[in-house]
Amino acid sequence: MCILDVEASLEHFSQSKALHADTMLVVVEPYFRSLETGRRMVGLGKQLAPERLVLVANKVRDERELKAVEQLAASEGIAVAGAVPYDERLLDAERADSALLDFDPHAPAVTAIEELARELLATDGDSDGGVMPGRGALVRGAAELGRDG
Amino acid sequence: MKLAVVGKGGVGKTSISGTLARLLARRGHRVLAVDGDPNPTLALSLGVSPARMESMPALSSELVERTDEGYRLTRTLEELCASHSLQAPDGVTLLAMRPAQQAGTG
Repeated sequence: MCILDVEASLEHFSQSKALHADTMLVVVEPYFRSLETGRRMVGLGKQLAPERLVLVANKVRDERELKAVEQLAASEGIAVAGAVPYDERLLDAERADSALLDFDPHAPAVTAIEELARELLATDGDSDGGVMPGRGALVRGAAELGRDG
Repeated sequence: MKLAVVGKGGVGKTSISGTLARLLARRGHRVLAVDGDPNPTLALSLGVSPARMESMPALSSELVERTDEGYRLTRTLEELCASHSLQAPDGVTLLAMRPAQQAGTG
């Protein structure tokens, strides 16, 4: 299993390392600008055609904000795989130079990411990761190293 | 599963990636976390101290090249991990795609 934390900028996105992923998580905040960026990234993601393309809502404060992300997902025909609440503990952890998981294992954001992990595993169609055609060293290496067990 | 986490800067993708990596590892999966950001912060969200992060050798220019498509490796990840990765908590392997500073590398 391999997790790529990809560069922020859109320019590097369309032809980048993300190409080699079988699952793409587009993280969005429930604000207009972030949602619009998310929509563009989903559009680029569709061109790359990963097996799974899903949204993850982050810093969600209430139902209304979650609805805004769900609306984007519905209009793009994709799922919201997880919703992580706005969590002050994350800022506290950063101030303490600590990972959230070490700082507060029971923080609401951790619980939500746990649910996201469960959801991703439950809907993983190809757990050995060997199907992607891929190109370049990254995907070959990742496929070899990513085999579970 | 090969998972790419994307999003606008500041959206929280690194926090999610780091936490997700460790939670998946705790479920018994072998996890390689790759920081694709030129300014690597995934280590911190995985719980790797800044000092340990600094001690990790940057990828030298013959191992990674910057192209229009982003960084491109000249070796397999397995080869790179042997020399350029570190063990993060919960058994996650971290590989940062941080290229060496160009100064003096010719």
